[in-house]
Amino acid sequence: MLDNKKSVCEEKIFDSLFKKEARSLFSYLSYRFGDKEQANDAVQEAFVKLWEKCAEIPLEKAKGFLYTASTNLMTSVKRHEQVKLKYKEKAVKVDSGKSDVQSPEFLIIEKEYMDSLTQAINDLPERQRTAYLLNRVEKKTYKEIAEIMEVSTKAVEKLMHKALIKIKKILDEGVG
Amino acid sequence: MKENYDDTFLARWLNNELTDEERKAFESSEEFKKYQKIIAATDNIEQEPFDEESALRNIKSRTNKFSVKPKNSQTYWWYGAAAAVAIFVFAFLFFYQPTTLVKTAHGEMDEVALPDGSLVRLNANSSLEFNESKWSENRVVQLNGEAFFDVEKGVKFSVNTSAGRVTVLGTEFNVTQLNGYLRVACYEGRVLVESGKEKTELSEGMVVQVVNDKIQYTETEESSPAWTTNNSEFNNTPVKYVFITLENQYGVKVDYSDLKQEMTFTGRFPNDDLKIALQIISGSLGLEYKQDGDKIIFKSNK
Repeated sequence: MLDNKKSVCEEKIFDSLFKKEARSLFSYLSYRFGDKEQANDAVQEAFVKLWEKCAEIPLEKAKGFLYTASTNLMTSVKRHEQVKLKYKEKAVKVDSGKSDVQSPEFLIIEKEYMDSLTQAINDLPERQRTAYLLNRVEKKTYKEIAEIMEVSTKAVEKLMHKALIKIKKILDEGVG
Repeated sequence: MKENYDDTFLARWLNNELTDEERKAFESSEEFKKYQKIIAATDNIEQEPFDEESALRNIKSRTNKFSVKPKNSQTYWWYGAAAAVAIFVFAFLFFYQPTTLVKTAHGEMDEVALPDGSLVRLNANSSLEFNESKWSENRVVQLNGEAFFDVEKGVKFSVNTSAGRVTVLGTEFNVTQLNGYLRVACYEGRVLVESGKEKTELSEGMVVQVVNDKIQYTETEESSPAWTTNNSEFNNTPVKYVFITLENQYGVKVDYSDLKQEMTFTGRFPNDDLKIALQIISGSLGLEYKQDGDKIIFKSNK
């Protein structure tokens, strides 16, 4: 684990902390609050604050500090927007799930479908959306998400389950 | 829509954690294809781009503290620590009470075990002296030249040199008089360096170099100094000290009176192949050299 005799005041340690955490922190903030410019600013602001207070913050507390500081910044601006999700348009190969079918099936994901899907994701409650996107887009494990969101792994599984049910429900209603 | 799953069912499905029965039942259900499509389509969503490099640059430009090493960061000396420190000093004068003395000749290295088990590796043309009888209460060695220390836990350990003092697990490192060149590299643990009003704490991987009262910080990725693997390494070092090292390693005499004093060298050369060492130095500095027995003359090739 992290060595607690190392100080965040050391540039080398600060830099490696940045490399380790900045990207995740940025995705967390932009998925939760929806504004990626603000998220980028908040990430930078949080790291600047960390450096200024480096003598008081032990390395093992640094990550928590970064998340708390940047989340506070985001909530204080209170300009929640929709998450602008970009996507590639391409056919996706899927496993048919039936062992007797030899050839793989291709699912054509139409643009209209992608648009309704991204809208459905946007309409999810904040915590469900954050967990869902961190898992599916950022490829974070449930355990990693649990650490980021400061909840149990079980709670992340519940959020994931609810998110999927909800997305499907929104899509079904849209079609219906 | 029937949802007779438990509240983490779909999360477990995504992680391939369903039992065979659960999975088969789910795959034959009506909604399976829909969930599958949602997941497949979500895979098309791209990660938000995040420019790490420019973010880090912005952060650093806003803090401007990065050029100054933190002072008095309330870090206590970590008393349990073992510290490995390489100290490299060119000393022109030193004075001491003779006790146990270990000396190395040109091109020779030696390893010295101190009374408490601390190890010192002595580079070429260096000497180390210490008082064995008072060792347990006063861990002090006198160094002239270059040595790599691997210090055992215990009371404060000091290395005195003519150019100052390095203290491990203690509080002081005073560069009292700077008539030479001092370089301290910390490979493990912590070391405090004090030079005039400047105070610097070195931790793992940090190097401080003092040339003519100017302090330079560099870093090292190595776990021990280059010379312990038969190389000499320099980082922006005035050529004078590069040539002193060359003399110490090969027992040669170097004439560099033709060269500018300000010239510096960055790089490494082997300590066991003079020809290659000379080629590296001359090649990277744009110099010509002539060898006459054990005398080497460097000239600018302009």
